[in-house]
Amino acid sequence: MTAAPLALLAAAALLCAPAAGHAQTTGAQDLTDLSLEDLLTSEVASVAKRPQTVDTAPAAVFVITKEDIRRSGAQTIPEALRMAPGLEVANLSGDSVAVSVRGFNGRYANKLMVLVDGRAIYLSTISGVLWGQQLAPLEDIERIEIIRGPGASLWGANAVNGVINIITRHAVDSLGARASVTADTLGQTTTDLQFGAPLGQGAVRLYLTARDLGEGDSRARAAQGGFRYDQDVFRNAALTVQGDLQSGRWNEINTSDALREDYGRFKGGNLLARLAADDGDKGFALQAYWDHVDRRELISFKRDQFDLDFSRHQRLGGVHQLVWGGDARLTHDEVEDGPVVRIRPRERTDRWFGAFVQDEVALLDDRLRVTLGVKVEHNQYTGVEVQPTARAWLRVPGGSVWTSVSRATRTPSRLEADGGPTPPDGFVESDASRPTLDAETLDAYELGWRGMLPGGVRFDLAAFHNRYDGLVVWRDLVGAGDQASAPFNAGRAVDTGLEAALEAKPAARWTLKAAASWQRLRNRDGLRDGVRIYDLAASPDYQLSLRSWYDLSDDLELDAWLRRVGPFADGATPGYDDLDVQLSWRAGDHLQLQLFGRNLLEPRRIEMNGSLFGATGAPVARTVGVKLAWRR
Amino acid sequence: MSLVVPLFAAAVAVAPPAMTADDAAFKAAIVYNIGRFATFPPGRRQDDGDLVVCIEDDDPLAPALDRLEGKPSGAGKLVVRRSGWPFAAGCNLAFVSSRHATPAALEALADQGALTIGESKDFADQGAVRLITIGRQTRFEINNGVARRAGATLSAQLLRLAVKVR
Repeated sequence: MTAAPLALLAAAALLCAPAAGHAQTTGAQDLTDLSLEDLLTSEVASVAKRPQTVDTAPAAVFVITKEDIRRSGAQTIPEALRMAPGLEVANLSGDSVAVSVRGFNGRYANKLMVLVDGRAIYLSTISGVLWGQQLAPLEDIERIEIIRGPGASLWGANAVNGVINIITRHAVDSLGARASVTADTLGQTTTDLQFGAPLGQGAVRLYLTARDLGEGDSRARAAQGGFRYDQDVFRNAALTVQGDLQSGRWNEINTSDALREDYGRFKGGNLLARLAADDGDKGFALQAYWDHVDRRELISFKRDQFDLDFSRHQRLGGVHQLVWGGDARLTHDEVEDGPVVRIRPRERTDRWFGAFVQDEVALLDDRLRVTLGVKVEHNQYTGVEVQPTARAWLRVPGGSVWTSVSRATRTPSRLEADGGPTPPDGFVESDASRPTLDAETLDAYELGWRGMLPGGVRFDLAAFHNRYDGLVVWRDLVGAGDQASAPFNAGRAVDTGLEAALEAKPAARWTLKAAASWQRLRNRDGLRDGVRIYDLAASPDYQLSLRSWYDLSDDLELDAWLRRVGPFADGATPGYDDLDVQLSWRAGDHLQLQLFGRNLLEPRRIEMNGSLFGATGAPVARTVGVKLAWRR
Repeated sequence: MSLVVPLFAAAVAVAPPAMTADDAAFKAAIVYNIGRFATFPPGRRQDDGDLVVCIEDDDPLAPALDRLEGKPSGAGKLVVRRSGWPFAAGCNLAFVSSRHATPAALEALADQGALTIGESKDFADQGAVRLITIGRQTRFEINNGVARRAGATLSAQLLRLAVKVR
């Protein structure tokens, strides 16, 4: 939820664009109604042409702004995600973080699609996101758009429980030089260096970031460098070229003797180019990227992905807003035999092709908008997947209500499709006993209501009912005793929940932002003998968050963040309370100083127990620190 | 998975209004906002608290600023004063065209208490606020030393939103 008429671009497409007759004029009268912040962010210029706001989204949407990140004191992207209602974030080590939404959290949480500037960081090889490798400096993040609920009708397979879209700043927004250092009493440090300048007809940003995070035996060190170049071309198009290179290593606490000495290493890189145009009534985007990951740990693999996307949107007949497009993707991976899993064949090349179309129709003088969309996709694991959605949005006094019905699928990971626990020496596995896996499917039903209460309190409520079928469950193979197991689409589950976000300004200098969520996740399969790689019990039943921003003066801010995470359903991980406090002082034109305390309510806590392959959660400890930021 | 939506998002995000009449309106809105985030010593604004923006008659930005005349600004409203060069005393904001943005002229305006705004390449050497346009993107750079010399206090939020602070 955002206070301003913020452009929610991903949602804009999800929602499929505005109806005719609702377009704002771009006159100066309108521009002065925008806050300077909104005026300067490039997408707001597009708001003037295309009024896409969170308020008109027929989906459960939450936007984390640059200001939200700055005032949260978050050092990593997952830390920032904790402010969104319903987001489940549990620290496992300095490198690994379990992140999910609407249940099914774990080290390899596999139902949440995540993209950085349009580049998917969800790896189909492991069906998950490597959060320790997401090192984009938080200073460079323009906003994070979070859509809870399926996004598969646009993003395709694996956008099951939600979509997170991390958007970095335009290069023009980071001219000049910046440097910042953060250090705390646990010895954790984050160092960012950045330089931006006009280049040719556009602007470029170069950056370097280094992190040393974690505590004691669970320590992660990583560095990343990269660039982003933006240039406006032709009359209404823009070109972006960006890339990153990274390297890191970490230790982690592990209860399995075989792995105790193990430590992880990663290297990675990516390069992306995008040409996009928009003149209000129509536009297109063409994007290509390459992404490389090389990771040595419990499951060691190298993976290269090449991806090409095209999309087009156009207004038809005044009331239709049509979006359509297609994509092609090539993935090559190579998985090493490890102490816990073995995958055959070791190397595999997969091709994915998809096409989607979505239409939003404005009815009843634009009080009602109906959206129908479908994505049809072919992959080499499960064949053709059809993922439709139907959404409706209705303006009501004081706000709007929306509802949706959607289907989304998750394709098997390489481990599920081609692998399993490493068998003992001499054991010969019979391929014949291994079933062919289908995709997991979700049928999701959602309902939402958002608006403004008297006194300027904004609220955003969502309810969902998710029915999962064909969830992957590992069972011992017949005749193999406990020497070999294989995955079957045998799991069924139901998740029902509520999420809320509130925002109020009790005084001119004081802002409050609250979030709450509750869910009930139940097994429906009745299986007793299977091992679920997903963990139904690794999600809290409820979460509460309250952020307070107080401006002591123009140069001095006091911010606090109180959170309650409920106990996990299995009782293995207790709930906890948490408090972060931060004092920020602008110590001159070029220097900003922050003093912060994090996790202040207890000396340490474990956020998730009983994770995969004996890797347990590392403690998160109380810490006090300082951040110095300089710019010129 | 398709990356269509982010693509689409990018398409929208990087395509601001074409910098014609829209461009001028956009820049005028930024000038208006700078006025909102600048505090002047008591008595420096016109008697009734109005903010005076001075601009040359033939400046391409003048018509767009004219349309903002009367908009609320602080305790008063925005007053656009169009004139020839040089400006008479009494400007709170002074939009200085490139041909007149000499160090001497900018220093003189600062000494008269005017927050200078301009677009020439080295404007922020002696000017307070430089509008930077790259492609269709418009941002601003601040020389806070010059702003202070003019007696203006710029808010922390304005400084944060500047792409560069000298």
